[in-house]
Amino acid sequence: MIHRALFPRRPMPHGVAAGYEAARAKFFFDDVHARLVAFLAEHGLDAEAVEYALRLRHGPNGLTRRFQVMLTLCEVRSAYDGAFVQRERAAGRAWAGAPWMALRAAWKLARGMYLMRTHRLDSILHV
Amino acid sequence: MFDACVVGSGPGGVFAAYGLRGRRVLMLDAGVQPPAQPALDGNLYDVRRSGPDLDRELIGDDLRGLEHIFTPPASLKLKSPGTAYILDGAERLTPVVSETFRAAISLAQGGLANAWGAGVYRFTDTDLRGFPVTAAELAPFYDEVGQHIGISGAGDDDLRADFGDEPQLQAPVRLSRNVARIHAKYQARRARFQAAGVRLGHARLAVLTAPHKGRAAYAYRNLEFFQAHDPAIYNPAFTLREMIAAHEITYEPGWIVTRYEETESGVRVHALALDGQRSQVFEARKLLLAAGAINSARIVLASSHDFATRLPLSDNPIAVFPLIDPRAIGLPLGTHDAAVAQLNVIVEEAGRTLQGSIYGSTGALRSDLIANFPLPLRSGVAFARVCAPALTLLMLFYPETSRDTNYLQLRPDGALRAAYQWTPDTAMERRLCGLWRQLGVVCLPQLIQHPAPGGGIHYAGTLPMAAWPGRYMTYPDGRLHGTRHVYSCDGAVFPALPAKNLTYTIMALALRTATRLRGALR
Ligand SMILES: Cc1cc2nc3c(=O)[nH]c(=O)nc-3n(C[C@H](O)[C@H](O)[C@H](O)COP(=O)(O)OP(=O)(O)OC[C@H]3O[C@@H](n4cnc5c(N)ncnc54)[C@H](O)[C@@H]3O)c2cc1C
Repeated sequence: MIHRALFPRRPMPHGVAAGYEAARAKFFFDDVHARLVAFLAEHGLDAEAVEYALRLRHGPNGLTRRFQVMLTLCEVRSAYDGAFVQRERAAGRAWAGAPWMALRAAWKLARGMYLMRTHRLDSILHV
Repeated sequence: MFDACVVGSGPGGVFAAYGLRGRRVLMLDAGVQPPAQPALDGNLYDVRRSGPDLDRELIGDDLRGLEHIFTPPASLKLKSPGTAYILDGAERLTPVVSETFRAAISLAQGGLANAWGAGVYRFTDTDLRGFPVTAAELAPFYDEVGQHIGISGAGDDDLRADFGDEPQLQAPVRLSRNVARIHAKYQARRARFQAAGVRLGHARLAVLTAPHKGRAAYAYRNLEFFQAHDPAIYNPAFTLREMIAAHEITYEPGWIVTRYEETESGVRVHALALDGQRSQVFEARKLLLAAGAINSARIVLASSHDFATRLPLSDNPIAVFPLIDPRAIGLPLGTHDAAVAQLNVIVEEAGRTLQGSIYGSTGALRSDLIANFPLPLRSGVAFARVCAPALTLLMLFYPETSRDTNYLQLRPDGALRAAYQWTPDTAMERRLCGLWRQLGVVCLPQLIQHPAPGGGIHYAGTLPMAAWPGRYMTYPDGRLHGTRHVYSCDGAVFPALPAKNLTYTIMALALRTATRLRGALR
């Protein structure tokens, strides 16, 4: 779910999945956010939007850390080089994409807050 | 009996030992060794693009490179499989507990300088205000250290008077596209900046741009965040190994010095093996403490069984200004740019001097930064990709003086309790943002970051020097008040902490202390 939220068009490589599982075993991701992740997965909810809403409201949290683990596991792999490193000149596209990025942020925030409220996600987190 | 026992192999300890060559010198050191360094041959970005995957090299089989997500280190340079050893064991063996101060303590051979940015600046008489030593007295020791470690920079730019003359200066590190533009804009508006008390010039670094004493020049590989011991970046472990090979010192790694006691003829030094299983007493005529300002203070307090005194503690507070050049958004990332500092800046403001370093944005993983952007994370990935080529970072150090709120105190269990308070001068930072904009970059005060106290990793002032020292202070020759044979050779002796990075001065002072002792130990 977390990989899909970040890279929706890519299948998750086996090595990344294995790394994520190993990280889960090693760092004992906290239970509270584990319940949240399970709930989001079960109901097919937008994890990126919920993370964003939570982060803007309360700062980085257990869900953010899961995303950070996934990001790091991906960034070190050559297949993801293009996602993280700008290799070609694309200034026009970058500027043209800025309004879209702002709109997307507003949309994701609204959606995250809506999901928090309608699914009473706060009650899972006790925040 | 040894003539001298030096504790620690960081910059202070190594130059203390270097100054004592020719005498019987024992170096006691925790001495944690680097693990096998990641096999990264070439430039980070070239290797990663062409494969293979670098999960083993950048994260590690034991996932060390993910630990910082759960417990943030004081610097991103201290978190990867090849560099995390720099802090190994310190939390267990020499803990610092604090709600307000995040200490980075190293028990590694070479100390914190395994990760340092290698910025080296001579202190001027203004910087040395409060020190019982003048710039002229220190000059020959800076000369000797500088000659030994190799320094690059520009000797003739606007920072010359601030950083002092280096007799043998190598060419400065190459500027990246964005940094070169900043430099050019500054040159064009120099008079205006100087009137505002701001000067800019090439970075002074203990980073070689030409071969020196068998060490290779900097190769712009962007591996500083992942590998220690780049031969181009000076590391005290290099000098230590030379001295061991030349039989100039006896090196005993694996020991944590816990305390000392003075005898008629010298000092008995008590040490505990790293595994905690053995202890041993070593004897020497003189003891030179260079365990870092925090751990040396611990040894001194423990030797007095003093759990009440609060020793002063200083660290340079930092403000990190992201500077974005809009013209570079979406351009290819300069994957062969320098990851070390490229420019330095001096800011004279309301009677104080601040000093900063300007870095490009290569080297560090984007994943370590993405959650800091006020964006959903998938957008954050795209934002980081297109904006990184436009980003430079100015890390600005504030000067610090000793204040009652900032101290160390020994607890009976051996841990040090630290407390630290600091508030940034946001009005001044906003003004500076306005000035940086004149360099052609976007600088938003809202984006300025202030790492928690301790994040400066310039620890100093725990056993300050004075002409007439009191208890837990040191004489101008480094000797600890109330002792006959104990000397301090690290940042502990700084009575004040100017904004210029302190390590070059730690090395020069240690060499000065040791050189004087060497004569006395004949
Ligand atoms: C990321 C980073 C960037 C930096 N950049 C710069 C820079 O650009 N310029 C600059 O001037 N400074 C910089 N610094 C700071 C610089 O590294 C330190 O100021 C310097 O290393 C301090 O030297 P030291 O010898 O006093 O202590 P340390 O480097 O801390 O060395 C202490 C030594 O003592 C040993 N030791 C500790 N306790 C004991 C004990 N109880 N018994 C036995 N041995 C012990 C350790 O093993 C180690 O060898 C940076 C630091 C970091 C981490």
